[in-house]
Amino acid sequence: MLFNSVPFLLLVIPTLLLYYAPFMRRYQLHVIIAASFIFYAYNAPMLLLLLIASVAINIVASHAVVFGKPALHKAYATAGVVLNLVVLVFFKYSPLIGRTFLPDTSIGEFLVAIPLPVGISFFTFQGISLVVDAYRGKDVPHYGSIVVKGMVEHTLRITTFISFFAQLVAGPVVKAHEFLPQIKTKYFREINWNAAFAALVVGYFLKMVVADNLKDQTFWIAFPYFTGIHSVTLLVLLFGYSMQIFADFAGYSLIAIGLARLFGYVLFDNFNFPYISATFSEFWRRWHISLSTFLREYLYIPLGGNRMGGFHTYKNLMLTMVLGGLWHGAAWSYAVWGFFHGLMLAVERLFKDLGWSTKEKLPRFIHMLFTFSMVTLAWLLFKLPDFNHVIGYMQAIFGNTGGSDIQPLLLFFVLLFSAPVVLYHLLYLWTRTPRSAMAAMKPVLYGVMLFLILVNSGSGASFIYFQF
Amino acid sequence: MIRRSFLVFVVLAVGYGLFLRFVQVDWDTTQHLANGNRIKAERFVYGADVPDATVIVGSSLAYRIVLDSMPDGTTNLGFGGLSIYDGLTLVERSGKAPARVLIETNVLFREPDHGFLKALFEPGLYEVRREVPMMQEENQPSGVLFGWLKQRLLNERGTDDGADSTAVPNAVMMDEHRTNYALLPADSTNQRFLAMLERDVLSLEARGVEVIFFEVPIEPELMNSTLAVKSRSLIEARFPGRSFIRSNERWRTTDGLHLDKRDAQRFSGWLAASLRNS
Repeated sequence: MLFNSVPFLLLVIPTLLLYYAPFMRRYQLHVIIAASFIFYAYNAPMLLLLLIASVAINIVASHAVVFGKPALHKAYATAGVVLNLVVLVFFKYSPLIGRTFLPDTSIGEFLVAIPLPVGISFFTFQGISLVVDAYRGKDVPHYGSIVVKGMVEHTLRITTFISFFAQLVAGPVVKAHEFLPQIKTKYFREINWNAAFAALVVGYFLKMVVADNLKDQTFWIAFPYFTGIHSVTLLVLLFGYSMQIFADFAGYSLIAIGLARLFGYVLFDNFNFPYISATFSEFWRRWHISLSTFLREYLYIPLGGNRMGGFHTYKNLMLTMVLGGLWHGAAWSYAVWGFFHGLMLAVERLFKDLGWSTKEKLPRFIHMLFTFSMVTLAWLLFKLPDFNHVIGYMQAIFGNTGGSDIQPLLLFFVLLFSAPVVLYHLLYLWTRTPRSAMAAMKPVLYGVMLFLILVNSGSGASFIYFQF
Repeated sequence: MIRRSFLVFVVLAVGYGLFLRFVQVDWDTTQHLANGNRIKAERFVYGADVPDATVIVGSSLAYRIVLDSMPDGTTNLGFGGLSIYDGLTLVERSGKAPARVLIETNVLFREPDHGFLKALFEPGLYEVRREVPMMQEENQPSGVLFGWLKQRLLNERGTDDGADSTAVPNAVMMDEHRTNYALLPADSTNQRFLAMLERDVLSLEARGVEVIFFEVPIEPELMNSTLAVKSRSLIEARFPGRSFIRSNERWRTTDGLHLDKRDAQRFSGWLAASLRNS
């Protein structure tokens, strides 16, 4: 079920009314769980069984980690993490394993045919976060409240945490220590309407007006169409795809944040104006923050982080980024994408260690432009999963300088629908020092966005991050 | 803030509604392929019945047929990236009964796009769009703005000469088409699509609609490919006695499949003449 569909509205409005009805206060978690199961099962009811199985694994594992035999706590935690990874690897990476290592075999065919359940990367990562946070609870005081002793209450809390429809299928990746302490009775009067409204309007605008309209223009990046397109148009299309992927995912995250607000939960910002980043490390502090912090907390630091220095730091960095890349999709191009980002981060770190930083020597704008260009170039690996096509696209950028049209129609609309993302970032830079004009302008901007959502939305489509 | 935002929204919506009511937007507002498909579909399903109407259903090949050259009352439901089955479904679900339906036979084995049809006929929104023109695809402000700018530029610079800049089909695209046109779907697949087409054709004929098949010319090499020859023979065997219009002339395409602007115009005239003679 898509956030921008009529069935979703028909689900969320009655759910909200029921959730805040005074006679339902004791059953608020039940209401969220029921709505979340309907939401998940809407397109593929059978996959709900997988979600329930995943939830069950994490209920049992997290409870055992805290209340099982103390000598076995670590074993329970390890088993919980491994089971989550097994579920993820089996459903997400079996086709890749089948295609790569077992082509033309019956096992390979079986593996390739395994369906990819929507949102599996998100809910298994949340499961890992739960088990690990529960295990760390004995060392971190405020993690202690994550797991409660009563099994019924624990089941309700964990099912809500993992299956909450706002963040179930495309994140943000919510950590157990961020979400579970927020579970308590919620009251209608406590809703932060302004925050929810702002997140929902900007989110729907980015998704429905910007991303969905750009999607139909950047369609031409696909093979073989790009081979006949002029270099200038290819560059503009790539720029447009960079804007599209931001608008699509940041839009989805904002809708999730806004919806969670309506139900009394605060999900942390997932994007913080990433395209103003002057370095790759800054980019990863601003892009998909919930994933980058997850990878840092649950992978990079446990691997040793930068504690052992030198080679080990670079190795941990590369490993984290390659696995982070593969998390995005079961294709080697995603691993290459992760490797590229890991390499850029490693080079940045090396330059810093050697004292070769250009931070003071060149204006920030130049750094921003360089980082944006490299990030945008790497998005090509998302759009064209076949590596040969990526190379072909690069060749076409340099080679298609004559012959074919520049296609003004395409350029006009790519730039027109990219403009809101550019303005969104520029406004942020402009308003980092508070400006009264901006406060007055806000209702006008929200009004314009609402109007455009109504009359200028693109053709509906899945969110890009659904495939992850 | 919320109240003031809604106030701005209402002012804009009313203002734009009045603009559409009093300004005749008669320029082309198409923004891209999918948007063009949707505009055509909405115009057809929301439009009034036309006496002695002709409807063309097809893929992106038929998309390029120019209506100026066709008989009055012709609607082109040739959709880029979609199939004849989408067009046939539109004819059926609109409840309209045109005098004749021309069915393109080049792309027989492409599934209908259920997403396209679902979005168009979404309960509630379908009715709202019928009554509120500003919510129709052709009235999107971005398209209206571009169409207006384009019209002004064309008025200043003179009309488009209709020629494409590429006279030779793109080699990579041609290779792709060669590969695709050398492949035949399995017999069971052929039969499934033909059964679907037969059901639609019989349903049209039961409503008194004349059905005519036609083939859009493509590069000669592809016209004689395994897929094209097989498609032709399957149609002729399954629908004996129906008209089948096909040209043996050579026509120019941009990529091996799609007619260039000038020949699209020329072919449209040729098709209209063939219809008159059939």
